[in-house]
Amino acid sequence: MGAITATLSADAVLGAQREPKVAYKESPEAEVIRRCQGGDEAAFRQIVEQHRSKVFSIIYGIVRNRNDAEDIAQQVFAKIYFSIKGFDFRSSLSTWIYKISVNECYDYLRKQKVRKLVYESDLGEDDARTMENSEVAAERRPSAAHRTERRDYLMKLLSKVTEEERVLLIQKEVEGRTVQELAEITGLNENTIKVKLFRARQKLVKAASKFGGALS
Amino acid sequence: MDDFLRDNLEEYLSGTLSDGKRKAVEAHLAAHPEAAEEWSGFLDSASLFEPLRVGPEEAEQAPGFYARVMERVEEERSTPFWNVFLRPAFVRQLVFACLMWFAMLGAYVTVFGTGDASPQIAESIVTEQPLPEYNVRMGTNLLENRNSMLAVLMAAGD
Repeated sequence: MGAITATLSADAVLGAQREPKVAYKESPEAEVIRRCQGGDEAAFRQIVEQHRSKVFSIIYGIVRNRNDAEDIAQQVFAKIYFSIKGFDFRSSLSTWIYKISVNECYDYLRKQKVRKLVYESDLGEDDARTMENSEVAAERRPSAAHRTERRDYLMKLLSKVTEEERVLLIQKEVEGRTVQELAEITGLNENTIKVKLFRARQKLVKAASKFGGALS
Repeated sequence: MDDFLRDNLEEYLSGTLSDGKRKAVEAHLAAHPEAAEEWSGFLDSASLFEPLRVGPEEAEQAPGFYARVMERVEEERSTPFWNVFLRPAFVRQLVFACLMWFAMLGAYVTVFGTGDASPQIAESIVTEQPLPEYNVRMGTNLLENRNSMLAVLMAAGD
């Protein structure tokens, strides 16, 4: 398993460990953030307009329900509104926003799981049978259930990597960002991004083998 | 050479690797079965993200999103701060913390709390008959219960 890693050049690995300090405070978006931190609502609006589409598509990709995705996206931006004063420029704003979005999705999935358990326990035997026999349900169940199952499995695997790795993976795999774009967003060099993604992928594979599930 | 694999992994997964490089990667993998196994794990894990991808038309939102966010902000602003204590998550955590506390306390008492009490003493306490004046009888008659309690308290005072 460690065949590739074993021979990774020392430079590449050390490069990822000794991350260059990225001057997020000097980035073009820093001025907008500072204005927002000072209570400027126009600056906040600018942030919302700039990120809402990406935030929504990440959330929608995970929850697959428009109303819930809209609700979570609103919650994400409300959270940003209240906590942007605490934003300390240790990462780029978009990375921070994506972290909040993914965490909100995890919260949603947790609540949904509890709700489902409560709902199922409330169902009578007849109700359950009716539901099982429903033609529409039978038609939709295989693909929707399979997708949900795969989604839950992936989220379980993603919980085993760091927040930063999770965001990188989602940006790369879901948004289709290139390594170069990720380097621009994060302010890290491309080699560091590659090493980080590589490690994140290794963790996913390791977690999958631990859970004993087939990956595909 | 393995640097070469790592360096090309992301482009390979995105399908943006040039034909020449892709062939070189595949030839390398054919020569290194262990690396090929790891590589195949990467491909499988990347395919798991597929259901999360959203087309541009799916990602379109109804207009007025900013206004709805600000409504949410106003709602949250007007929510009293103690509401946080009423949230189910907080209550769950509180209950969990209490249970943990009792479990720890129970474990402590079990391990250290026996003191000098030997099994014989414990047995004698269990088998000991209460003194008649301490024998409280509780029934459905509240007055009788009260009198019985008072009698016991008086006896204890003596």
